Amino acid sequence: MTPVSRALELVNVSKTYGEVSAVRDVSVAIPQGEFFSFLGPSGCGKTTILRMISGFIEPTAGSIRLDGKDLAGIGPHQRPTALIFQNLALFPLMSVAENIVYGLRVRGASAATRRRKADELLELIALSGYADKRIDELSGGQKQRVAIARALAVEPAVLLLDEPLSALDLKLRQHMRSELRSLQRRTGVTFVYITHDQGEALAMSDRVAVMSNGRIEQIGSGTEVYDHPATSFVATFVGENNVFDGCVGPTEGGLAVHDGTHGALRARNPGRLAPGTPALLFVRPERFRLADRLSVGSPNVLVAEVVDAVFEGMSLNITLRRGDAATFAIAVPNDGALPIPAPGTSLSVAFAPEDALVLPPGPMA
Amino acid sequence: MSSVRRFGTLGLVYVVVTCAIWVLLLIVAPMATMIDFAFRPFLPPAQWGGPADVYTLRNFELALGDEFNRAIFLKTIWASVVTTVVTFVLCYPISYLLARAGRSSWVGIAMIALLVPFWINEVLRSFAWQLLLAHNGFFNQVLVGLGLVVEPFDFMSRNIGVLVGLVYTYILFMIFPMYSAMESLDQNQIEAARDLGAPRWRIHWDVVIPHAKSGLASGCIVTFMLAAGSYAVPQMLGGTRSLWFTQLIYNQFEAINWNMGAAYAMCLVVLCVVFILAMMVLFRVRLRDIAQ
Repeated sequence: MTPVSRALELVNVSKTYGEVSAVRDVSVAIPQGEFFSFLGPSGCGKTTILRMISGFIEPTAGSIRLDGKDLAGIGPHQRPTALIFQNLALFPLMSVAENIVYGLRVRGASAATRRRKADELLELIALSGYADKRIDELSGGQKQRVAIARALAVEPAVLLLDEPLSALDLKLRQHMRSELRSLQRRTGVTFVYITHDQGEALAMSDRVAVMSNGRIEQIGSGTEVYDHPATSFVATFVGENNVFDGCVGPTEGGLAVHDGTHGALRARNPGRLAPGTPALLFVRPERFRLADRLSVGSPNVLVAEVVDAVFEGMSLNITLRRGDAATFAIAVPNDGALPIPAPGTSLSVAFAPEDALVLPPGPMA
Repeated sequence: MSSVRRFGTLGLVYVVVTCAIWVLLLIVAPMATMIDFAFRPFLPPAQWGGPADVYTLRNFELALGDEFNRAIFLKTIWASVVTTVVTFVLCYPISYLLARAGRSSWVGIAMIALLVPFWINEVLRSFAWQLLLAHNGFFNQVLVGLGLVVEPFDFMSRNIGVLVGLVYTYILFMIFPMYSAMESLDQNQIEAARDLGAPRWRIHWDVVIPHAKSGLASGCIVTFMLAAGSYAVPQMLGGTRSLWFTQLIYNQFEAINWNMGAAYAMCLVVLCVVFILAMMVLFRVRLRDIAQ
């Protein structure tokens, strides 16, 4: 229907406010129809990027292009983008249908066109029959859907979403994730999603850009940024991670030996760090196994003292300590046959070398 | 019962009694007296309560039947409407900019700059304008100096002096209700309308004005009523040909014909009530919205 080339491109985009750099040299190409997320802590520049794409602020340097055309100088009212605000910003004095077709009304669409489009979108968001309701009569999730319909009504090439789920409670948030994802698939519109919630980003996005301090740290699919983080920031910001200090040792069988606080452990070395360089070893809590369930002679076995064990239903989260070193955490899935270890008892845990990696030291989340 | 719990029995009695005194003594009693006066003929004290002291519409017939009075009454209406419109047009952008500026420090400075002139009495400020608008005052010197006019312009006799004075005097009564109504508007709604493609005037028409309408209505009502009821400004900045209806009222009271004066005043009260109703219809607001 729409040409495949309608990509949104950010080319070396920077934004500075006086001395402060909000966004530094960001480049990314988002193909048409992709669900793309900018993920980062507050103040990382992701909202600035969204406002630059929507046209409310102009970049200090670099360019934003859509379908090859530079958008510089085109105001938000003329850009083929639509923004969904964090607080949705629905018009409280207009009905649901009036909200949805507002963008068409200001463009001079006829009443018949507006009526048809409202019906069509109300059906899309499963709110047929709500056309004449007031906004304050809707539930949080319904408002959410009306905001999306209002933005889709102007048939944008790119839909920009500024943490629209953050005000919802947990259950609804999880429901809205799949709802947003399926709406995006059905409409084929490019979604650019801003969030500080890694769960949201991982659950919905085709690709995620992890940001810190105005820079993109890594762009990749959810599994890429989770399992193959490029920097120490990504490793610690996306999901939980244990960090062990140390140095890279010799490489054995394609895996590096990491000599650190917990002795010699084997791990992936994606950056091909040379032996002798300082490095951090990252291993996620859920990648640990209880060693008594592994075959004898497994690598990376750690014997540690239980500090605390918290039962969380789906998993058992155990905090462990070895000697004077900092504590580390493991999460063991609840398979129904799990004794909860008492604090002070000794526990033998292990992880596969493929489940850990070494990265050069850097800022962490 | 809940009010007893809130104030205590003694507190409740205090609240009710003080409110009753306030309403009866300061609102009902003077108005009732005025109405009573307005419908009685002007008589020497000896005839008070006598056969001639009956309720009649005679005062109103004289008040609005007289062509001169009626002309001044109508002039007061349109001049007050013009004052209200001019004040509205001046204040809308100022209020909007102040409201959108949020918590930035210059908002405070701008607010104080708006307030400072109002620390001086209205009469004195009118006098200052008298000097500015005088035959060889500041404005005329500038106009003549720049060669824009040959003869000094007579601001006073052309109602311009009164208009300028009224706009200046009551500008705050327009700005503050407007500002506080606009200030409570979620900025994202303005941006959302913009993002959806609305030109600027449409954002005002569809989003800002509907949200702020109660503030706009109360600003217009207060400005109109103060302008129509103003005495000092027309007295000082109006020429001989620009009488104000309040001046007629004053003249009647001064001439001891309180009955006639009361009838004139009642005309003004009715006018203001009609204006309030008109504004409520125009802005589609209820009395409760305006009172906020």
